[in-house]
Amino acid sequence: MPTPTYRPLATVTLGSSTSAVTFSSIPGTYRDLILVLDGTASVGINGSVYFNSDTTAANYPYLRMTGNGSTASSNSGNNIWFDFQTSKSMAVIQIMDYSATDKHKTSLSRWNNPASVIGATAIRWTNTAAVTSLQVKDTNNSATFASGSTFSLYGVIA
Amino acid sequence: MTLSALGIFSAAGAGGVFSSDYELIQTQIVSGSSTTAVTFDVSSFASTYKHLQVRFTARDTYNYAGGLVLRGTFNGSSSGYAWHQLNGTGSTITAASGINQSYLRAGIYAGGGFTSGHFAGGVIDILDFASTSKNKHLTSLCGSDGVTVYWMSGLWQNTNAITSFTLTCDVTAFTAGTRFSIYGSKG
Repeated sequence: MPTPTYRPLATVTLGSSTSAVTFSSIPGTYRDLILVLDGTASVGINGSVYFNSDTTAANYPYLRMTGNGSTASSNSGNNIWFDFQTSKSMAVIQIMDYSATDKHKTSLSRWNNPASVIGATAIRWTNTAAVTSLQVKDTNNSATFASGSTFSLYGVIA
Repeated sequence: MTLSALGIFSAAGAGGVFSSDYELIQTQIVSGSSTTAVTFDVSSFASTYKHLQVRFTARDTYNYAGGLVLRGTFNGSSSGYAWHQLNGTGSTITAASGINQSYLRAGIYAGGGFTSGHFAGGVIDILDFASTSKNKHLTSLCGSDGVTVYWMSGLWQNTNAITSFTLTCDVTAFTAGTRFSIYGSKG
C-alpha cells in the first residue's frame, strides 16, 4: 500500500531583513529533506546551508554549473549552495538521506534569478552524522535576506 | 538578526494521518555487494498515479573516484532510448546526446574510489508513465562533488504504458547502502 509522504515541516516568512534562518529539532523520521527558498537579498550573494552548526566551509565541497544568458560555466569550491540577488531569486535544494549515519550528505540544488542567472549545484557534507538542524545564510556572512522572503522545509518519507 | 524555527516538528512525525497526492510506492536498499540492478514494478499503479519520481543515493563497488552512468530501461526493453545531457565538471560544462540507444543515461552516481560514505544523489522524474498515446519523457538532476553535476533529458520512443523501471549499475555492482525510492504523484 503506498505511503503518503512529502510533508511540510515548517515555513518561515521574514517580517524584516534577516541574516540567517535556522530550522532545528528536525526529526529523523524522513528520508530526504527539500528546502525551498524564495525571495531577495540585500546584495547579490552566494548562499550557504550549514548542518548541525558545522560552519567549516571545507566540509561542504561542491560542483556547480551556471548560465547567465550568454555564457555557460562550471566551477567548484566549498560551501556555495545557491545564489541570491537583489531581485526575485529562488532555490530548491534536495538533501538526500539526511538522517542516514553511514553516508555523507549529498544535496542537489536548482536555483535561479530570472533576470540574470540559472544554476545547478551538487554539494556534499563530508560527515555521516544525521542532520538535525540547518541554517541558511550568506556565505560571506555580510548580507541579509529581505522581508517577505520565504524558507520552507519539507520531509520526504521512504 | 537571526530567525529560528524551533521545536515546530513535534506534530509532524512519521506515522500520523496525512492525505497526500505524492506517495511512496517502494524503497529498495542494497545489501551485500552483488546487486547490479534494481527493478520497480509499477504495473498496478497506472490508474492511481500520473507521474513517477525516483530518488536515490548510489555508489558502485568499482574502485574509481569519479562519476558512473546509471542506466535506465523501461519494461525490459533495450531499444528506443534517446537523451541529452549537461555535465558540470567543476571547470567546464559539457553536453552530449544519444539516439536509438539500448538504455537511458538516467543519472550519474559515484564510483567506489571515493572516501567511504561518499555517495551521489539524484532525482528522476518520469512523466505520464501510464499513457498509451505518448512517448515517455523523463528528466533528472544528479551528482556530487567529484562526480559532476548532471542534468538529463530522456526519451523512450514507445507509447506503451510503463510497467517497470530498471536501474542498472555501470560497472561492477551497487555498494551496500545504495538506496532507490519510487514515488507516484496523482494528476
